[in-house]
Amino acid sequence: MATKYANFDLATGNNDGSDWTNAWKTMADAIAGTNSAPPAAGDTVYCKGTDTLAAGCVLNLVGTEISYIRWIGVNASGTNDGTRATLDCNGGNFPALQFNAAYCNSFDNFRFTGSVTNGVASGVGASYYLVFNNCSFDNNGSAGINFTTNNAAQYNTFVRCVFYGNDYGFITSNYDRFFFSCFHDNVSAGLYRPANGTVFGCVFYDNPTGLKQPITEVMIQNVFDGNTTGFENYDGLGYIGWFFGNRITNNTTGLDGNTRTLWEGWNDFDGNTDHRLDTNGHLVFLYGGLTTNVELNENGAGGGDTLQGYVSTTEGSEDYSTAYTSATNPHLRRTAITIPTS
Amino acid sequence: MANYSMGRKPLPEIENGHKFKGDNFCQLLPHTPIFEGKSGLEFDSCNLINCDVPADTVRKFSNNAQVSWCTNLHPEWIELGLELCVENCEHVVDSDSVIIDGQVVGVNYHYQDKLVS
Repeated sequence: MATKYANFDLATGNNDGSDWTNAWKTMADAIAGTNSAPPAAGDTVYCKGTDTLAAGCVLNLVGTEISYIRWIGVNASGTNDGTRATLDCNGGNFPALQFNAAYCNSFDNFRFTGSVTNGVASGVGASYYLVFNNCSFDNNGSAGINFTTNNAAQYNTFVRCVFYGNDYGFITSNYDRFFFSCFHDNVSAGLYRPANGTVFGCVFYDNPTGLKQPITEVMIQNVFDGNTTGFENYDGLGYIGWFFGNRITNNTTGLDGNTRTLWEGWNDFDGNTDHRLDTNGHLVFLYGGLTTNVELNENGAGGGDTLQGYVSTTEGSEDYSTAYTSATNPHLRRTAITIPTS
Repeated sequence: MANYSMGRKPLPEIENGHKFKGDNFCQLLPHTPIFEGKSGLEFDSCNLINCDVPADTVRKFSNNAQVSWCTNLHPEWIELGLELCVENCEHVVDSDSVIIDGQVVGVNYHYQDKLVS
């Protein structure tokens, strides 16, 4: 249960991680435990500053389900106030961080940026149970995270993370959970083929495709706004999806049903050029037919919420908080769903 | 924050000294000039891959690498104008032979986008 320290801006000290004066100077030093021992299960490593990388870091450390190795970004004073520690590839053709047989590591307040390839990637050994909270994966040439490279990293959790300015924000893994995260302004798609997990309370805006082809995924209470296609259903064999309580607004195509069954209901479609594209007839309402969806008129018809119910959709100052300016605006999130008791 | 990548929408009209934050200007081909003739620009946390920006530009946490993209990795960019790569193209970094009953019946190629000067 040791506490250790890394200051990526430090030039002096013993580089052994023992305190801020002798903090490790790079992420690679922290992982290797230079002049000391590598972090172990139950340890916390406080990190600050910017590590401008000449080569990618490989993390192969193993925590346990009850004793994670915690990596926490802090501000210049050492306080955990949400300030991110940065791993900057500076245009290098390597991931900032690659997980190789890593297990139960968590990252609070980190930024992974500037790679020509993926910002974060999986390695030769399969990795599991990674947690990311308030992390940014931005401006990488391929994906912000690609957990399909080599052996996949699976069963991971993302809370309040942001993925922007990458080719893909995030590329497929298995059994991952995304909560309250944001995917915007990526070159190809925000979130690509997440499988067997959950996407809850996330925001997707200004991508060519917001959420592209999830595999057996549960998607609840998300916002899809201003994408070319807000949500694109899976097109391969054997998979279905569940899509409830989402707001799909101001996209060219709101929801593309593609070729697989999507069970849907209680969604709010408003301001899309084409609300729902169902060429193959695989969109299935679980209750009440088309009118189950809130405010849904047939394609192209508006729902009537001012600004689709948001605080702001202005480019550069998007705020997808729902603006409760009247009893009926916005719709959804105040729609009663009757739970049968008999 | 805005998404101007791959020419999907026109670059904004700006004055000299404009500051961008978090915008995506990623281009298809290396050394594509953007904002020619402007001066004093600043890009903070922007994707500037394959962009040539004016010489006096200030860049903070902005990825300005020049990259030859491989269409075997990015097939969706062919329709945007990226030249089609052959199977055994310049982006191949290694390959595996597919062997069945002792006979090589095919090759799996592994690709990587290439940094260019």
